[in-house]
Amino acid sequence: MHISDGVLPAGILAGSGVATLGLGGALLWRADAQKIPRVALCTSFFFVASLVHVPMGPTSAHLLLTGLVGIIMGPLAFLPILFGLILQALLFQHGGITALGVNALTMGLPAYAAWGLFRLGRSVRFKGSPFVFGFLAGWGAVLLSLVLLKVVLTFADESFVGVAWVVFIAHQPLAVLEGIVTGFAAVFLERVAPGVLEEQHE
Amino acid sequence: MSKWACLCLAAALLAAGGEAYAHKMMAASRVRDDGTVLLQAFFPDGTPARGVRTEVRRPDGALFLTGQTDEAGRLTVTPEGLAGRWTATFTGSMGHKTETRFVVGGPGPEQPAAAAPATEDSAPQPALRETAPRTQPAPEGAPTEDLIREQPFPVAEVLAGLGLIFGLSAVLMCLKLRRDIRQLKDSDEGTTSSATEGK
Repeated sequence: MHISDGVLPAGILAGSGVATLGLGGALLWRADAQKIPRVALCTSFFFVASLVHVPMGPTSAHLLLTGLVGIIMGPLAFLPILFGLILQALLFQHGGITALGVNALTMGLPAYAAWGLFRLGRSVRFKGSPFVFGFLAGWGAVLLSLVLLKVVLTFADESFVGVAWVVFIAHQPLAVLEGIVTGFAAVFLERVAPGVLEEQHE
Repeated sequence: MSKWACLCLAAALLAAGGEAYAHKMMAASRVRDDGTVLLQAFFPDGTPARGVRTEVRRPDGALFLTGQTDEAGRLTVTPEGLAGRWTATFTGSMGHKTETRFVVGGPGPEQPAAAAPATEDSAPQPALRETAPRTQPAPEGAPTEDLIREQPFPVAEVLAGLGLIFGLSAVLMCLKLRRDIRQLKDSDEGTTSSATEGK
């Protein structure tokens, strides 16, 4: 789900680059020192998750875990995604350096949506609610990333519109898998470290 | 949900990652003896990149043809016209993009583009063609022609990345703590001086 260099027009790359730089810089400046280890932890699993390959019909997909980053990091969710993407581009050549801004936005904004959804879920508590809302956060983050990716690619070339629905449907197994992983992770955190979730969602 | 179930799930995911990984798209080309060129796009885990839009450009940069890779990620082209280094660019539906180059009319694909590109006067420009993939099935019993090179799992890069993440985060945390301590000192000094003035 990483856009390579040379795919998008310069205007989109520049605009998204400036937005990413601004958002990333502001968050980094405001982040408490105590939150940095958690940023590092989320960056590390986001960084490695891109190597877990899931066959998706005509294309090749991998885990994103942006939903999980969202529910653990809350307002700082953009930072692990940005740092993870930088390292993925430098070390694995996943996505391009010039496309870093647009990749960070297409994956970072859904992490905030996942955070919002999970936060909403914590106000409606019932048995199994951490799994249900964790699943919805993980599943929804992937689908939102796909929608944003397709919208951005459509600006580059209208021929991408034709395959949008195919790609959207083909990625459902990945979205469900991410939902399950995020749901189990939410249950696990709720039991062993509820403070992590409460800190972000109360 | 027990801790053991979570651990099993994590182990299964890591095992899947060890078996196969893919994301960036790669491509390779081979100039055959009969003058045709086999192009193939694939992912690092060896999965063929199917249905990928491919643009083949002549050495002068002019578009020669566009096509799509087949189920095996292959596309066969018959270059006509200019001798020199041709370029094939593959663009996937998810924003993946890669390119490969091959030499036509030169000493071979491993050599740099030594053959001087002919001018437009000496080599007529073929008309732009929209083509379907022109694959050439291998003869019965012949080994399947395959350019896919599966990449090993990047253990060194993963370790380097994790080292960078935790090393830089430690540096960042030190800088932020230093800033916090300075701010505390400044506020303490401010409080003390105002208290002294009050007395």
